[in-house]
Amino acid sequence: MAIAIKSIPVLKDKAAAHFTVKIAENSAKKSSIDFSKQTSVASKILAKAKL
Amino acid sequence: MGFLLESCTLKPYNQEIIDSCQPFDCDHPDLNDFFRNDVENYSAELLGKTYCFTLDEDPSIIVCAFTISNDSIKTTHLPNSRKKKVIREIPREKHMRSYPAVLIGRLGVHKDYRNVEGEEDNTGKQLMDFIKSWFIDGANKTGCRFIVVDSYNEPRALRYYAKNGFESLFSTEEQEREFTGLPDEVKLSTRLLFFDLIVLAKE
Repeated sequence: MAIAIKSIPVLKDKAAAHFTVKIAENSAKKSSIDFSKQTSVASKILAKAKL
Repeated sequence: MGFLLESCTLKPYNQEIIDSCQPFDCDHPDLNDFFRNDVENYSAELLGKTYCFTLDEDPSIIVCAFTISNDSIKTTHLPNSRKKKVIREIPREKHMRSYPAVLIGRLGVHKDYRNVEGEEDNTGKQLMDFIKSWFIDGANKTGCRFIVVDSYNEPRALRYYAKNGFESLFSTEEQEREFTGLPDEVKLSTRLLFFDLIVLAKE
């Protein structure tokens, strides 16, 4: 059996504080990366998919 | 993202695919073992769902595959301004937040299809762009702020996720070992990394 997939532990104290700072920084950069080309391609992949 | 769109088809990865396709070789023994022997167990226990892209000109070839599941990043801590006051009081007040996330448990690309001639982006980048797009798509039925990946703690894998904008959830291996309950002497075989989808603009 392969290495088991790890689940995400609850972040506490320093780890939580560090993560909270990171997401505040990212929120300030909301929608700053143009991903329209990639989402358009993904829509076509999903339309073609056999799901 | 041309190759995955124009030359491949996205399908659920199941026993039928395993039985009808050539062995999926990612040039990584543990990853090959996972996609050969463990996928059905994760699926049967509703712990993970696996998808693959097969080659259109020869559907017996699996080009890449990935296993995903619903998860969340939970934080609990005392805000600095409250620390002094709360420390004097029992019970301690803590702030708990939960952020919806999708967990990529495993992801692999066939060793012969990592770089396709004429493609601007390698197949791994195309696959990651697809997964990111899938979870910011308006048709996605649930909110999802983060992609988290349980990456092999190996230079090539870590370099791949870093190139695709992922950051470590824990600042050090020691911290990750502590949070995941691993003793110091045990090797950390995987690392948790995250990508914040909020930075992407879909239109």
